[in-house]
Amino acid sequence: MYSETVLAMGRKDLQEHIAGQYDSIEKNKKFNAFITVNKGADKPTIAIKDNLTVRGMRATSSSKIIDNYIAPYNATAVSRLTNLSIIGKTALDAFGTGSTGSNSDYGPVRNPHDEERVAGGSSAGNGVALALDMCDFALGTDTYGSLRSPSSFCGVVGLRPSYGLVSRYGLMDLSMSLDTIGPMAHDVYGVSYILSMITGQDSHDCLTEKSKKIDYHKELGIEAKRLTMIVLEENGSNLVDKKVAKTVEGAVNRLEQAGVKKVVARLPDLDKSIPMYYLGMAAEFASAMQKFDGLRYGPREDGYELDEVISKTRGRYLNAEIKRRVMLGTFVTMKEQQSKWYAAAIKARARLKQEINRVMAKGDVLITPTMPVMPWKIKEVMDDPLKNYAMDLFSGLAPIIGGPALSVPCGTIGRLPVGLQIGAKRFDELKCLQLGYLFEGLK
Amino acid sequence: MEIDRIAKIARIRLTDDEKQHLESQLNRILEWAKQIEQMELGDEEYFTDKTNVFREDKVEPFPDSQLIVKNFPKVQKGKVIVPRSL
Repeated sequence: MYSETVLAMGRKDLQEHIAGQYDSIEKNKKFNAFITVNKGADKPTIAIKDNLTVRGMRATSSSKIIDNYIAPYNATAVSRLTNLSIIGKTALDAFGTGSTGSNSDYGPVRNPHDEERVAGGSSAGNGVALALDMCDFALGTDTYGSLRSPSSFCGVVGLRPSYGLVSRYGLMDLSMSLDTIGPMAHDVYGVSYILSMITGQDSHDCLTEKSKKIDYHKELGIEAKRLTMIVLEENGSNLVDKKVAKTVEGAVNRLEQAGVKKVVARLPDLDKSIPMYYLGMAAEFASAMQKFDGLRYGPREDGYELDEVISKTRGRYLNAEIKRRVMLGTFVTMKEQQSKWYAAAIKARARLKQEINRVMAKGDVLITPTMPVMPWKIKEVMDDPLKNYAMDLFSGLAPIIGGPALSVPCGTIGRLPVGLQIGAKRFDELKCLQLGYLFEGLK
Repeated sequence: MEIDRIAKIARIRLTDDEKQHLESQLNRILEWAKQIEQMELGDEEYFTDKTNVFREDKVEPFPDSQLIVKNFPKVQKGKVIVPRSL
């Protein structure tokens, strides 16, 4: 009801409501959620992840290599937002490189329920801003879980849309074959409301598809018996925390009791999806990062020749995780290494796509935990790439098939929320949203 | 691993400590990534089911070119100054 209530507020109530959000932003600076705050909001508010461009506003992507960049144009998704005020730009793992929110050059984003722990990432600032009532809606990006991970760890709702449904024009890319832009909110109605605005073909993104315009927020009601959910045998992997698995099983039981049909499927190669992703993503990321060279924007180091200036600038202003991924991506695409690493990753992706589509054919939605583990302490993950990467176990199910996935809160362990992931076939967002809306009503 | 060569191609100047640290981490990541081999991949070819949406090849004026110029690290008479490349 949160989103519907805010959207129906009269002017006076809305002014008080927004003043409360600015107070929360001021009071909770230690969570490092915002990089830029926009004063003067007078409509329901939306936070924008800082790897998306808003004309005339700073866009750092949480990296010092473009610390002072002012965007000259709006991302298409931003320009499609109507009757909303942009309250600010939020922090992320720099350029989207992380699942924790700890890899921002503007300080680690802290979990709103336990500030010593990670918030999830990369759309970490959005998750915190929603959980601490700093905004009504948020626009994030999701390459391989980037808006679902913070939704899960912060206890809010986030939807990764199908690849090609929302234009990516104005997004600083991480991995162009997987990147999407999607909504986050306090509830399923909220993400559906924002999604209804931002979809549609765009001549600036040649992969957006002509699709029927749907008002998702007006079509959320559905009878439980009309939906079939797929669950994975043994949760899909032994990498899942037992308490998380139990919480998700409880949610599945509630849905079953409400009348949703259940089928069980196997996905034996799920674990392999993580290295497959990191090899392929790193290759695309190394290419995407070439434009950050200190020539046209951002700080520039001194030097006499071009290569010297570029190498010194990148050496100084790219952080450790970005360097790691660019170096890995460069290595796996070197002529003598390509067939062993990059080509293998591409083949593995094709195989996994077939396997996931085979599973998806058994029902309407695929139910898993959003994150296989609870949020770690910030200090625990800073310099252990493999520990960080393992968080992406279920994140790839949707991106590999180009489909949608929703994360909704489904319980807590101690103070910390657990997210339920609801995936569907490509362009079947409505099924994810309908099941999520149904689940919210069961609480 | 030829860490200096990779860094040169990637155009990133690294300190000696960074080189040592990165080499060890990249080797660890690649060792972990070898589990893909267990999938016994065959002739799979990745092909996309997405289609390009072409637009008319027409010049459109960009209204805010001054905002682009303002981002240049070094500028002279509206043009970006770059280091020598030849």
